[in-house]
Amino acid sequence: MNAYLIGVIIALILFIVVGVLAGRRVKTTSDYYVAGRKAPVILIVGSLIASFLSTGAFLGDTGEVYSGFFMGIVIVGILQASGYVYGANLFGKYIRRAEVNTVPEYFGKRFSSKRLRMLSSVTLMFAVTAYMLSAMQGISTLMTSITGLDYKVCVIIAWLSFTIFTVYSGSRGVLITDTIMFLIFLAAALIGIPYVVHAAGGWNEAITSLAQSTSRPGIIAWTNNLDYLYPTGGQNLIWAIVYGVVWAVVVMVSPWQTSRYLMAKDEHTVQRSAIWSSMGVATVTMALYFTSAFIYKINPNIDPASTNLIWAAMNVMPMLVGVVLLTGILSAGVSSASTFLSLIGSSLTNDILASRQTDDVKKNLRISRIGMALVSLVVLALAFFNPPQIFWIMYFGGTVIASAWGVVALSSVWSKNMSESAAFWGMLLGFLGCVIPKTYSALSGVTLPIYLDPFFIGIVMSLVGIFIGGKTKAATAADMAQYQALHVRPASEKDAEKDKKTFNLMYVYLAFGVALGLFFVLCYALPYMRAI
Amino acid sequence: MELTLSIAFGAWFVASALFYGHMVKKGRDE
Repeated sequence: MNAYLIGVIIALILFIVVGVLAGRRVKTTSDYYVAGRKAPVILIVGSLIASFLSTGAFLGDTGEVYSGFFMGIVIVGILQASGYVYGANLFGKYIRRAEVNTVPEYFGKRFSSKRLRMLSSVTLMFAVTAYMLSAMQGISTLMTSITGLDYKVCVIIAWLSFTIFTVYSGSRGVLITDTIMFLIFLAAALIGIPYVVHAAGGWNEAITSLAQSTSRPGIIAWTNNLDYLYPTGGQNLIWAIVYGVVWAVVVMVSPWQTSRYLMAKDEHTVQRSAIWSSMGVATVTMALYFTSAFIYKINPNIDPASTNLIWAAMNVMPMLVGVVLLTGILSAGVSSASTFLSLIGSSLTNDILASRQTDDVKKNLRISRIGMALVSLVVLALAFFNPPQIFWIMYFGGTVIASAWGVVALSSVWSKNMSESAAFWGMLLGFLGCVIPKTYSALSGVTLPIYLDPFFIGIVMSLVGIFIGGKTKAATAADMAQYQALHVRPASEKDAEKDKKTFNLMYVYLAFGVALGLFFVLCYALPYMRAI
Repeated sequence: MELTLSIAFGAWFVASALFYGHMVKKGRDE
């Protein structure tokens, strides 16, 4: 048995034990769905980042960097990381105020609408199932390459590793294990860098060599490598900005991010968590992207490109550091999968089967656990049998939720005149406006021009839906009363000391922004310009 | 362009920090 396999097994057992222990304190559905609404900043930050960064970031994004798309991915990373600050202050704080168990429940409550709650639950399940299958595929592929075990055996191990505690402990277990996993992959992203930089001949030497690369010209230039995606730097830059905005919107409104805020102990926790999460995501992703660029300098022949970090963990780093890195990548996948399962299960039992809830607390908890277990079995079956007609939904990713929920979510907080009909049609047309062109593009193999990206079509259709829905039926007095109620600060939030502490975090974030800019100027731009 | 983008990254975070400060202040009056 190799050291990497031992590390992975220890980590998985740790997650299951800690997750199950956390479940012993779960007594009500509120504990199960929103961890009793008592979570402090550290747990919210851990869960926000662990739910967002998955094997997609550790293997997919780093593979794109390695393939020559460094600056494109960096721009996406910068924009998406800032999404936390906008999301928490424009949406997250207000859904926390609504005191609901799920985000679809918020939409239903805001517009007194069962059909909107159903629609948001269905779109959530569609997008999150797509993501979950993708995460399970990533975890299983990684485990196969580390352990040499059969892919299907790894699917079952991966499934067991997060299902046991998620079904039993709900959000309480997910919050704690997410935070542990976040700390592991934060360490993993940071401790490998010195070894990679050393093996690449030092920082300046690596930047110089990459700037002058003839095998992959432009790998770290602003234009990116022109053979990779679009043939001009301008088009690549536009792609990066568009997708940076898409992912910032995903961070702002997606259920796998904003549902974390429902568990925060107060609104100060929501706002503070957003700042730390933004800095955390920026730090982890930038560390990973530079690492993968440097790995190209060490070995330009890794195939497939998405395995470059795995190659470095096994060939460049000391064994213990490599074990931490591989365990960290696995943790990123498992933590996202546990949140996804918990979201699908919660929405099924809390929103779709809402009528089954009774006054019996124990019975409600039992129904929730059974619902979650059934969902997990369906997901296992999908991942295990891997039917091609199901796996097409993995193409949809986060853009669907950004198109369907983006405008409706923000308008639900900031538009007094938003009616139920406007919200419903905005969400439905936004969803279809993204799914239909994406399906067409995937099935026909036609790459749509950047200005016809399904995200744009979805956003435009969402706006059309809001306009038509608003014309059909105007906001009622009840809609307006809900809007007003959202903008009344609860008395429990009024605390001068806490206000000051929350505000002062702005200075920390300002300093981080200045430090980030200086880092890029001094460690990337100036050495790059000297080299060319 | 590489230098411009590097400066823009820092500037974007600084702008986001100012937005945060503005929203926190605004939230006190709700």
